[in-house]
Amino acid sequence: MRELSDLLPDLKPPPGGLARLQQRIARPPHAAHRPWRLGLGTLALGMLALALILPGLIARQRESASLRDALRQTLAPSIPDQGIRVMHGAALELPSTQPDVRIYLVQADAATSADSESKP
Amino acid sequence: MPLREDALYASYRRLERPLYNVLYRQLWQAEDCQDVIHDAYVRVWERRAGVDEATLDALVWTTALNLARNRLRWRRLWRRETLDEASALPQSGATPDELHDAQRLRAAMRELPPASREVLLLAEFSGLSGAQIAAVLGIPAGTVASRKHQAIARLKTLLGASRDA
Repeated sequence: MRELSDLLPDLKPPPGGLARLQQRIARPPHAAHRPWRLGLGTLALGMLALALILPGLIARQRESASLRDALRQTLAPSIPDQGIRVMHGAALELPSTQPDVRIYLVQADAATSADSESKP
Repeated sequence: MPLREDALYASYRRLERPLYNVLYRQLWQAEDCQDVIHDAYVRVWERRAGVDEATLDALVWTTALNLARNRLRWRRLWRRETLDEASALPQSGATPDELHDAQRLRAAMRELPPASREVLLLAEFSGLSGAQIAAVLGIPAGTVASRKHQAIARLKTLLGASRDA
């Protein structure tokens, strides 16, 4: 193919390649495998793994915290306002068909109800 | 018999230029090519006890091509682009038309499937026969021929299309 050989000239590699290889080969083996390299590599891998895992863990933690708050808000008994206070129990507002009528389901604490049952 | 140091250096002198030419058309970065060639020879040397000098060149080719593929994967992973384009162009006294043609060819080569591009470059620059290329790449000889044919056909189409544009 004429165009390929014309347009891709035979390139000459930059000098110094063989000298670099000879230098590397001549180096004693213990110099090429220093123990600190292994430690450094392990540390780097550990940090990389941490960097990959940590953001996910934080995000999951935040998600579960916000989900917990939302659930708590939903499940918490709706305490009536407008001057009504519920002590030793809980009240849940029930739907009413009349605008000026409010209906509450009131439940006393277990201890309070036990006391009232034991009294004659 | 383990690999001798002088045999390794002789292989380096023999293969440095063809390796550089093949690798450069894949990596398009002179420094990366030098590193890949160096690393390939170091790896072969580290396994010298099991290396037969008769198959040394083939082993170096295979190792260097594998390292180059790893670099390309790494670049794709990190979306790293090369900047060393100038030396890919014809050297001295190139006319603007020649420069333009070289750029077109480079763009077209990047469009080729990597496996076909590799076969085409090996056939063009390595000096290896079809059977030797097949052995280096670990594919059947028939596949080498078909990939080379496909690469040339695709390249002609791409160059024709870019000329018309």
